[in-house]
This record gives sequence, C-alpha cells and structure tokens, in this order.
Amino acid sequence: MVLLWGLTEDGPLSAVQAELERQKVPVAFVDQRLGPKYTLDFDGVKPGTLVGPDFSVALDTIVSVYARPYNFSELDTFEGVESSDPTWLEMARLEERLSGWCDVADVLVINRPCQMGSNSSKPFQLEIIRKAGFLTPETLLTTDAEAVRRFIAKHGQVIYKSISGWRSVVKRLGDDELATIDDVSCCPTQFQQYVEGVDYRVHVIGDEIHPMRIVSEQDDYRYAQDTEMLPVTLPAEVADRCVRLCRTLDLHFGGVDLRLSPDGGWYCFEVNPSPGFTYFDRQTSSIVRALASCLATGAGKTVVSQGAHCAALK
Amino acid sequence: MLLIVASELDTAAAQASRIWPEARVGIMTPRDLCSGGTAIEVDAFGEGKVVVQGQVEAVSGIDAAISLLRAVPQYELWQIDDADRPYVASELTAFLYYFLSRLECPVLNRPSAHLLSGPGWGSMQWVWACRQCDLRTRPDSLHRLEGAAPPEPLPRCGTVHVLDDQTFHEGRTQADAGHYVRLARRAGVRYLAIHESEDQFGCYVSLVDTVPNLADPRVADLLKNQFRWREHGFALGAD
Repeated sequence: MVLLWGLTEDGPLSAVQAELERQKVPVAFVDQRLGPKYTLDFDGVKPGTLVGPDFSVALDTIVSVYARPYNFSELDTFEGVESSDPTWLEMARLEERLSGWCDVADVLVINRPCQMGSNSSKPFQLEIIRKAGFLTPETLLTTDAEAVRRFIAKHGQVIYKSISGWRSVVKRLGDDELATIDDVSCCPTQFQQYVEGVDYRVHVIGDEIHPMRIVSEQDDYRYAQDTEMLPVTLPAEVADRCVRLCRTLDLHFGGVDLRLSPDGGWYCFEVNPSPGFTYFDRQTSSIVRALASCLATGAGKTVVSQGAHCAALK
Repeated sequence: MLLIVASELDTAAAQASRIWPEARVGIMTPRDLCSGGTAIEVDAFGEGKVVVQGQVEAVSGIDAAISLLRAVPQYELWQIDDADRPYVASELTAFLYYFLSRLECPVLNRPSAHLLSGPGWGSMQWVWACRQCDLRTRPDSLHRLEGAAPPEPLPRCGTVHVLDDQTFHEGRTQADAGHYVRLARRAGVRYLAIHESEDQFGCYVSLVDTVPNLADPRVADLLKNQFRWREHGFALGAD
C-alpha cells in the first residue's frame, strides 16, 4: 500500500496516483480538502492504523509515502474557520500526527517532513551545496546599501532573491531597484553574483537522475513563456554530485537547479525538496514512472533523522 | 561578546549580564535585524558584520551565542507595514537559521529549519526519541510535548535540565542522568529541559523545552558552571 497525502488537484500527486493505479499498486489517499475525516491511531512505537472515509489501513502494511501537504489553514474549506474552532484544532492535530508519523515511520517517505527544511534558508542550503563540490555564486546578505553598491562594483551584474523559502521571482538588479536601494535596511536581502550560462534541472530519485537542459531567455525560467526543456546526459561526475547532494540532504527525491557557465563550471543554486516535477515531465513521463516504481516497492528508505540539523555544515 | 538572540519583549534575556558579569553581553533582537548595518558575504562569513543592540558588531567578535528565540514573531515587527510582516518574519527567521548555524563559536542551541533553538521536532519525534532512550511517555501526552506551553496545566513531578553532559534534577524523575543526556544528544542539542508528570505507573516525560530560562536561578547556575567566561572568550565544561 502506498500512502499519498495532499490535494487531489495537486499535479505531481495526481500524476503519481494515476501511474500507481496504472501499475496496479494499491493506494490510500489522504485528501486534505476532506478536513479531519481521518483518524491516525499511533502511539509512537506500536503499529497503528489510519482510517479514512473510504479506507482503513494498518500502518505496518504501508510500504511508502508520497507527501505533498499544503498549509491546510489556507485551503478554501478552512476559509473563515477560526483557529480555536474544534474542526480546525482536529485538523491541526491530525496533520501534526501524520507529519510526525512520516518523520519516524520505518518506510520510504518522499520526503520526510523533518528533512524538507534545508531550503527554508537558501544561504544555509548553499553551504551544503558548496560542500558537495558544486560552484555557488558569491552571495551577500545585507541590510547595508553601501555593501550592495560595493558588491555590484565587484561583480557587475547582480541578482536578488528571498533568503527564505518564500517564493520570489529572481531578478537582476537594475536602475529601478538601485534608486530605492536604501530601503534594503528594512529587511536582510540576498544578493548574488549573476552567473551566465545554461540552466539544467536535475531530478534525483534515489541513485537515479533525470536531467533536463532548459532553454529560456528569462533570468527565472519558471516565469517565462518560451521555456523549452530537453532531456540530456550529464557528465558522470556531475551526476554523482547531484545524487550525493540529495543524499546529504536526506532527500530521496529532489530537484537540483544547475547552471553550466561558459567556462565549463557547474554552479548549483538550490535543491527543491518537493519538486513540482510535472512541468518538466510533460515530454517523457520518465520521472513519474521512476517515482511510482520506487514508491511501489518502498526501496531506498532512509534512516530516521536523529538530530541531524546543522550536522551537514560541520 | 556573548550574543543573546532574543525577542525585544523577553525580559529574561537581560539576565545574561548577571550570569556572566565579566563578559560583554549583546542582545540581538528582530529590530536589529531590520536595521542598516548587517553585511555578510557567505564566502567570508567571519569578516561579516551584524547589528546588536543598535550597534554594528564584527561577527569575529562573537565568542558564544545563546538563542532564546524560537522564530521571529510577526507581532514584533512594528516598524514594518502590516502586509509585509509575514514575508519579513520569514526572511529574518531564515537569516538567523543560517547565521546561528554558521557561527563557529559555541551556540546554545543550534537552530533547525523549524526552530531557532533546537531541532524543531514535533511531538511524535520526541516520543520516538524518548522511547529510544528508555524514557517513558504516554500516548495521550503526544500533543503536549511541544516545547511551548502545554494547553492545560500538567501536574509535574520533576524536571531535568541537561547541558552537555551535566544535569540538574528537580523533584522526582523516572531515570538517571544518562538517559536524559542521551535524549539531548539524539536531538542534537546542548541544552534540554525535560519535564515529567506522574500517573499510576510512575513518572513520564510530558514536556520538553530547548530554550533555557535564564531567569531560573538553577538554570543560570548550570549555564554558568558549564559555559564559563575566560579572558579570551568562553571555555566549555567544568575545570
């Protein structure tokens, strides 16, 4: 049995569900939109049960989990529901228990909630990326406009983006932004050396990689209309590095953002711990097939994290 | 400098100056993070500058740090427009996660993605870790092992404070020191307070907290004994 957790309209989750059903793998879907209609009976040690409106599953029969939960309080079904409302509290408790079980369960979880946090601080993750052997762009975190001006003088073209996992459009710093650069004192902002080159997105599933070359005229291809994606083969050493990086981050499935610079250097900007892969998988469906196959067998489960926060930096 | 990362509203943070009267203590608040002067190049972290109590300070001048902040709260960002507060709070938290992780001096406790002073585990992970350390918990106390105040008062029978391999017990607890030290190690924290309650079967872990209460004299003593100021910085461990 494979457990899916999230929203039925979520692209990656529904693609995996369809592929698992095609492979005739039994699936239990915890649909967040149904609210707290599920009961998780688990005391932290003994095998428990998960009961939903249309299924009852012994937890020890689950071989794997694909978790893409959204913040339930932002769902339309919870609009106007106060956080003191019993329904809200029940849902919060269910989510906490399910998330907790995913953190400690001795099965393959893609990915464990406790291991999804590294990119909630991009400079933190960048340190781990650098230790994995990739080049990383020179980066400044600052509330000092003068420091920004010096950084621009050193690097010429500079981009800026959020420090946290808050989704932001990556932009090059232009005259408009420079005119108001003194406002940077209100909030630390991340500035990076602009690295020219060709973008690659590498989806890593266990030891397997699915690399794509991305052709786009925009600084942030995610927001471009003309983006093209072409399956490619990476140099073996770069492919290994991607696998090792995801392993260091305890991610069984990760989306690694690379750029190949004109002088042949491989830069890595970020690893997405819950990649919305369907955008990249339209042509080949190779990612969804690989993901469903490993979920079906539960192969490649990782050990439960034991206070590993910060360990990767040491 | 001993850096205390704390809320502006945290009155206990100021106790650090009493615990370590010889040390220079600086309290970094969210207000400091929203002030001009911070500049850190990640390739030259040690040469960076941060704002502490309104003054620009060199990162290299920080000898030790104690994080009393769990996350940057939106309500403390008075100077930021209402609409921008969620974003700014998230950015400040992410900045501190990076900053406290990178400091090479002793940090109590190192942050995680989910908490600025410890692993940020949910109750299930704490229950699981307690069981691995042969410490009893109760299934019905799962939701109370949060690190924050429990939803209702628990009748406590004892507390153990762990700092590295040192412990301080108050009241009755279920096990000897080694179990609690193992729990702290498993959680990857230097400081951990483990509170226990009692039922008909004996004591059980009912609450854990990774943030030291500097206003508690017993915690202060433990910190002072283990985290000692010397002329050129902090020394760790007993003499």
